[in-house]
Amino acid sequence: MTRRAIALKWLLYALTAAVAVLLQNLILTPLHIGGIHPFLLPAAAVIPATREARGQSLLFAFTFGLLCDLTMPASFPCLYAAAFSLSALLSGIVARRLINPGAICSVAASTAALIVTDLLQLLSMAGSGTTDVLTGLVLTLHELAVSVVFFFPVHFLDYWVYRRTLSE
Amino acid sequence: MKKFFSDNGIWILAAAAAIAVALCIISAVSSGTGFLHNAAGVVASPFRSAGAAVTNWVIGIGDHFEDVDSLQAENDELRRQVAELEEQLHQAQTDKEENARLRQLLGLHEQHSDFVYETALITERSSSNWSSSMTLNKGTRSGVAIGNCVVDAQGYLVGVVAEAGANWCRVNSLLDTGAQFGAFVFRSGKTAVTSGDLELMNHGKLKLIYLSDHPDLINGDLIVTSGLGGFYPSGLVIASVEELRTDDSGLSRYAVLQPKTDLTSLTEVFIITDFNTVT
Repeated sequence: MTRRAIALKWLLYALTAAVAVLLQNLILTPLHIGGIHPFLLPAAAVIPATREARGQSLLFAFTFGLLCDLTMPASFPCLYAAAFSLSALLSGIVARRLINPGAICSVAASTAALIVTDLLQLLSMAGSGTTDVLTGLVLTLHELAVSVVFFFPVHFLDYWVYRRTLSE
Repeated sequence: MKKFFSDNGIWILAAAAAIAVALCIISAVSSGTGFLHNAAGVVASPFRSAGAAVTNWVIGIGDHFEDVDSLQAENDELRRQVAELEEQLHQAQTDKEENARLRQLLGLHEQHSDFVYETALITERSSSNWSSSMTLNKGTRSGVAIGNCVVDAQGYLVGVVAEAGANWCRVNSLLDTGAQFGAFVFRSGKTAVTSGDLELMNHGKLKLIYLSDHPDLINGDLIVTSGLGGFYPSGLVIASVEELRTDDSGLSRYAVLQPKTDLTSLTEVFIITDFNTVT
């Protein structure tokens, strides 16, 4: 694959991530299911890691996380950069050793990413005494339950990019 | 290129980790809003405004197709309320005159006449379930500073400015776990602290903590800011008492509060950029 093709591919992945951000902010954030809204951003960060090279997808997840850190509140600095990088690494391992890349693998990777993000957030908040672990775990499970169905559209968008750039 | 990434993947990871740690340290040691946060906020500001405009447009279309019957019923209800309000207005006029006389006797100022307001629009709401915050389209250029209180059109407390950039600021709502306000019960005058709670936050509620052993609270009691310490203005209406609970340890009690402001429907808010402190 040429350097130009690689750049185009990651530009398209970045565009799908931008679509996920728009979907999150315009539709999902105002949508409350039992007081919780679905959270798509971990899926947008890690699904490319299930098919693409480890280094490239790690850099993508880190950059996306850094942008999230700069524009969104978090319980500690660089939460999203750390969580998404770690999750991209995990997703690559899952896709290579446990589940073949596909919809199920994408959902598993996104689930892992959401759990990693929430656990880091929970550790930070429980450490500072602003919440207790049980409440945080319940919130994590609740968030996962309402988000999981929305991982599929992100998977199909990323899969389209993968197919589109595979032949180049 | 692929070979480059496979050969140097570990170094990229190490560099990314180093950048993350450096940013963590910079954020931790710097006070106020960091340069990167400010720059990202300024760049994102037009996109947030555009996003808010699209969201409001979509909501506007939904409103346009409201059911005619419900509008008719609402119209009837409004007519009835107008009649009631006209009667109340007459009573209020008499009360106002009496109030002015009493104020003159006590030497008090007009309520909140010392507040300096800055109008702002909400351009983005937090997409995380772990915090309750919103981004506004006014920043340090308009005199907004960290710690400024934000109220709605009725004067009900919305939250406090947690970060301020050049043309944007982020407000932690009163439901956020990081937001605490010194408060007192309007009826009894007893002091306490309102605090966000992760469990209650997602149900749109907060709690009143540091209550005395025998808290004199009843449902509907109004909770207002105390202004003690001079950080926040006094007398801002926060919430009303919904129920009294005992915490998991069984040692202390807290009250569940229902905020007076409706955070979900807010589009415009007012930042209090200056006020006279309680002496």
